Amino acid sequence: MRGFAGKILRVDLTSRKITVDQPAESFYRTYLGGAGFVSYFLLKEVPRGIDALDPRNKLILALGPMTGLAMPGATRDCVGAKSPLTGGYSKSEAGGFFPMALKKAGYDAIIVEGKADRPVYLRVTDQEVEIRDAAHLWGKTVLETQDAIAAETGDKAIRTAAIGPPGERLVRFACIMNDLREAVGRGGLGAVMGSKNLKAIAASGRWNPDVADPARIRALTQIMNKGFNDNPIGFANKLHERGTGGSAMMLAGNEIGNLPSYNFGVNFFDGTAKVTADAVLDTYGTGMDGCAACAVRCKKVVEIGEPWNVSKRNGGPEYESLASLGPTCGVDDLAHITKANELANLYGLDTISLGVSIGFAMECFENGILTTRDTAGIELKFGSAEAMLQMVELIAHRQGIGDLLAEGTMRAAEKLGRGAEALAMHVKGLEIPMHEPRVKQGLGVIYAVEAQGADHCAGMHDTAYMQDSPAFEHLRGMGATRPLPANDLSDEKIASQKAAHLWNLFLDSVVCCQFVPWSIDQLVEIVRAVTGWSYTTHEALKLGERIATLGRVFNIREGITSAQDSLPKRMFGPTRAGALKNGGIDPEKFRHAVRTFYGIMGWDEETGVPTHGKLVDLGIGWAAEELSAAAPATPLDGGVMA
Amino acid sequence: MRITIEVMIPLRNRLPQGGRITTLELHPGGTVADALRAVGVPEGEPWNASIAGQLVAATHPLKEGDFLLVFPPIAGGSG
Ligand code: SF4
Repeated sequence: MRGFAGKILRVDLTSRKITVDQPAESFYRTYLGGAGFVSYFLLKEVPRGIDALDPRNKLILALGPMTGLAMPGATRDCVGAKSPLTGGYSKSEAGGFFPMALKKAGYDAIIVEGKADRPVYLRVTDQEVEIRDAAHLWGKTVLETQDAIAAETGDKAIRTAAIGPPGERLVRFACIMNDLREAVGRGGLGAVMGSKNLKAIAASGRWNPDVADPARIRALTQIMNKGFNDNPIGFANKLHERGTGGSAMMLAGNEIGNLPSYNFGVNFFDGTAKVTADAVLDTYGTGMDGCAACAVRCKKVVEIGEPWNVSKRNGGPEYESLASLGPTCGVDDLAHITKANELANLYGLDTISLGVSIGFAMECFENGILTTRDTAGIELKFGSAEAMLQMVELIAHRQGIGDLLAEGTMRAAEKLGRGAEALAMHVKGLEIPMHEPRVKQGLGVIYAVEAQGADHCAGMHDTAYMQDSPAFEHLRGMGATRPLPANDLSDEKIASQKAAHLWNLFLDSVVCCQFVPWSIDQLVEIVRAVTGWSYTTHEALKLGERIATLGRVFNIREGITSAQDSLPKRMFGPTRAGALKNGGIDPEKFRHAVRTFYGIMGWDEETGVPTHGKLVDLGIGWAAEELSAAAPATPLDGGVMA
Repeated sequence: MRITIEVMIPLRNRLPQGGRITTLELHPGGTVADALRAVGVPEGEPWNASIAGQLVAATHPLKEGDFLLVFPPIAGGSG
């Protein structure tokens, strides 16, 4: 088999047993890698109904056919498990250097199960696999962990994926950090690692995949390296200059209500100009950096001296972090935001869930649901940069009020009661990212129906597809209909969202960065050139459908019904000020759009349960068994969270 | 009919005159597309536009006194 190692590493931390699977080539062709592997193994192997922090949960870390190649966007992994936040299907991707190191160790995926009786880390090389003691690393930051592992192994090529104290303390939105800057961010996968007493996975090696057509791979690499700046289907030129969060995008986003501010309650933020990527680079920037072999280099490098001591090594804030730790909390102090972002990277915290949880707590405080008695005297008001930063520490260490917020907004609101539920901005337990579903309404439908909860990387950002353009033309080739207004929720819009959804899931299986503007034709060509298969676009999009449907079956099996394919009630009403002050999603249109999505996915339009015919069509007839064991499905009850 | 148009950077860098805010005289019933053409936004260049915070399409009819803000399309994290 070309392009793959042909080996999946299995580690049972309870028995300390290490084995290697060698799946048939047909398995690789059906599931490809990344998200394909994650969706297959989660449904096949995670026992029904277990708690996400139970040792029987499995952490699946998967690479793809592109991983290990020196191509832009190719160094990326996809990690999945049952989510501690949602209790359902979860997967998340990140770049850096670690995924390439793991491929060079000669594996396509690692499946970790069980729980070690004391802290350990996994060292995976092309020579051996070891479970090593990590007692001395427990409590350490991601940076300290990475440096200690590099020092004690003496292995200069070693790369790590590690958790910090929040993962150890089972903060439900703890993430896994690839190297120091790249977060396998969403869904609390760091807490799953922590629940297994697994501090890190460290990899290195010299193995190289055998590629079917190396000349074609070299040619495509050159095309992207030379042409990404002028490529019209993405925005890589802007990412190359200053990464995500450029001032045009944030200032204009503020004008149209797309910048979540004050916990999605206002969506107009006076201090926006102070918290853009341009402001970051002008004030604290020292340059740009990137993941392995990527010419786009979209990563801001920042440094701040005394008293902040933000190190160049730990990465600058992305748009999601700027907006969630900034406007969502009403904070416009860039030093505090940059420090909070650095702490999130050092500790391993998902900045989206972190900022939204703090914004939630601030609104609870302003409404008297939380008081200084709960916060140990902290005036947890919107706009307090100091309080925002204090919360990051308290959550990371589960101290005081941080212990409650470490549960995520859904659980924290349930515990608090007294109207807190209405202030919790999540879908299925996963906090809403920094793209307002009242503006990008088609993306809002994807937030609602996506198996893992509100995920901004799973659909089409409606605002970017309002006119005919090369970007729209690219989607049209996958089944998108025609450009439509951002707040349109017609059947045609939902058909376009489906096309984008399948494309994104294919990308997550390859596993390729969404920021590198490869077209689907180019990526399919890459799969062909790597594997030697006659892989087609049809197969690529079918894979996307297979993954979405497996994720849905997993959720149904875990008792998540169409009632949870919803958005918070706030999204169906106006904001207190800003462009959305007369806005809000029409609940009737939204409900219809969710049903339409079910229908075009081959899922029952009332219950969202995949039909037998669709399972057969996708070659996953075996998943019917999982459905038959599930609780009875409930019909869609309106799409608006209570 | 007079309208005012502001084109944000980096889209503004592609305009022949490059001015930030321009007041335009348009024929009655003129649309967003007409205004963009008048300031020289290149054909095929993707954009978003809003009036008073509401996104508007190319065919949206303008009226006297409108302030049209034009910016690069807002995508996932960039734009
Ligand atoms: S575009 Fe940015 S995130 Fe994507 S691979 Fe390149 S450097 Fe990494």
